[in-house]
Amino acid sequence: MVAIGCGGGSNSPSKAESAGGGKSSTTVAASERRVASRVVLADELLWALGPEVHGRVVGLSPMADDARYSAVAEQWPEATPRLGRNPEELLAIAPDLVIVASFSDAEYRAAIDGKVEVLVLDGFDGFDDFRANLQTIGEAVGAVEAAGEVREAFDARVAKIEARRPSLAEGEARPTIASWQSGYLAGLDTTFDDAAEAAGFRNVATKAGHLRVDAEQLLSWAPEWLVIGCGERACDEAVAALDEAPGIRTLEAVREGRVIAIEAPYLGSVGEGMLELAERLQAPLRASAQQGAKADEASPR
Amino acid sequence: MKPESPLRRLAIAGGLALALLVAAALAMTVGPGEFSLGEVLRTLATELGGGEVDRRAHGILWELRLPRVLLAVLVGASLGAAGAVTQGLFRNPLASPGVLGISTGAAAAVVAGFSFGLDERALWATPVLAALGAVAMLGALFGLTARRQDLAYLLLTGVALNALAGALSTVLLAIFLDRYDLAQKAMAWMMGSFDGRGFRHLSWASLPLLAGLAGAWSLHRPLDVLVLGEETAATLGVERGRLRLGAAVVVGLLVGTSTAIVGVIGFVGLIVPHLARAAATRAGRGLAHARLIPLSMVVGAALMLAVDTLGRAMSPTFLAPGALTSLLGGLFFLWLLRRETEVG
Repeated sequence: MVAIGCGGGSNSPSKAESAGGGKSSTTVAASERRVASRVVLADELLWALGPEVHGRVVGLSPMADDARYSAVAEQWPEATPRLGRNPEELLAIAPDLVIVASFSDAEYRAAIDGKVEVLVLDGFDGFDDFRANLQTIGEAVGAVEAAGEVREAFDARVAKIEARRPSLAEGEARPTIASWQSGYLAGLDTTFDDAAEAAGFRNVATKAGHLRVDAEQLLSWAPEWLVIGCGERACDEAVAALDEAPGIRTLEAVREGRVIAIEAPYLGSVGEGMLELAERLQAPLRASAQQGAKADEASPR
Repeated sequence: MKPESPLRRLAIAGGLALALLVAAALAMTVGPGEFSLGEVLRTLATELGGGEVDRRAHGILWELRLPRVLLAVLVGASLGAAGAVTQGLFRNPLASPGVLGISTGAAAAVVAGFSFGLDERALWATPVLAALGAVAMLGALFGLTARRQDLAYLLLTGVALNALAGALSTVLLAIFLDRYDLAQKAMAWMMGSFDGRGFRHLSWASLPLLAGLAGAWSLHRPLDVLVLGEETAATLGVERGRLRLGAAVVVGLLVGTSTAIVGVIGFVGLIVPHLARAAATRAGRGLAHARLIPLSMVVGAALMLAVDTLGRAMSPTFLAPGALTSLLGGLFFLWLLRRETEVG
């Protein structure tokens, strides 16, 4: 869901509708707007929309260059200001539009409300939300065509990943997978869920959202594949550390090397990084399936 | 005051031991996997006998739940004993180990470790950082109070250091506020948790905690004498400086190690000695430290087990033990304050 607003009021459903239609109350044409971003996804999408849009971006989120979160780290020119938590920084550059997230500080949003047009992105839970956010930003910055091209490329890549899923025998279920780190499990309706589904897995989670799940619970579910984030470590170190983790080390996925370690920022990406994640999940699954097929061929009938 | 009969003492000790055993049995059966008490006992017996059990039961019951239960017992006993010693040292029922700033110092070191990714280097990194933080805080406490022997000064210095370490954690979190993973980890750690703790954690914690528990009990005589007042205690041979040092080291060992292993679990040290007194005496007062300290260990262990088990029973809702004890402790503190005011 997206809301757009300018003036004294808060974002209302009617304004959201007007944003959906690509209209706004501002006098500056969408294709001429100077845009500021306060959310990493917008940093990434504005970059994806191409050079014409780049020239109109006057501010970026504070994490735009943090490779742990941003897929466009250090790609934006240094001269473009990175906006901190102080709303004065944003007001000083006086953009025509600022893109924020629904989870952005309420105080920050209140401080800029009525002084600059605000586009609020609300929905970061998978491929459909990505498509919706892309379209909304494309319309808001007058780059609908470029957004359409990005979407086409995205959909084509999804289709390619889905086409590469290992084939299943009749009645055979997809292998189960869990993404678990710092005691949290990526549940249904998350970016991980969509990426795992595209890659050919079935998420062990039965509830939506990011769920606090302790090691005992994970062991009782016994996923066939386990996904972890590498964090600040090298990925092989992160995998090796599981051998020391009480209980977790007894999981079949860990004992049999079916652990997929994902580098930042892909595990947390709500942008095109989700597809990178899907591809990284799929690669070992395909390798395992091929190995299994070879073993079947070699075994005496 | 009429002395208690040995039978009553035995009944109290037996009742508390039974409560602890029930809490431990419950703790072993509550959680994922739906293991019955019989299955739990069979699995443990097989493991102890060196036999092979189902891998899932091994992972859940042996590698995670058993050390978790034992750790909860040990940590609960430690925090309870630390509370009894602190209240005895300051001769104030509202005192708790938290006033010395030891767990806050440990928390500041751990938050610093999270900020720089040190926690991901090895499983032992966070406990070691927490222990260093606790030791640094204890060192600062001794360094700053070396010239003055009175307890009020020790208390005030502890409060100041507590505030300083808390501020350090806040500054670090503020600097890295945009890193949601850091905030999530720090928040989870500061609420305490027994999740994912295994025998390795138990082995790291056992020696310092058992030494601390023995040390706490060894202080029972001077703490009893101190009830009569510092001057009187001095005339009866209690060396104030030595007692103060001994108590601070014991509390540091107990609280510092507990915090290092399971994070910050507040208010246990405040509540438990009162519960122990209430369980052992009709008036809830006048219990000698020779009984109060071991009773606080048992009550602390049972309370911690109950809190952790309740938290797990409520899964998937995450109820951190530290959050629950703080909630209970806050209410208890208010009630206690009101009672003390009325008595006063």
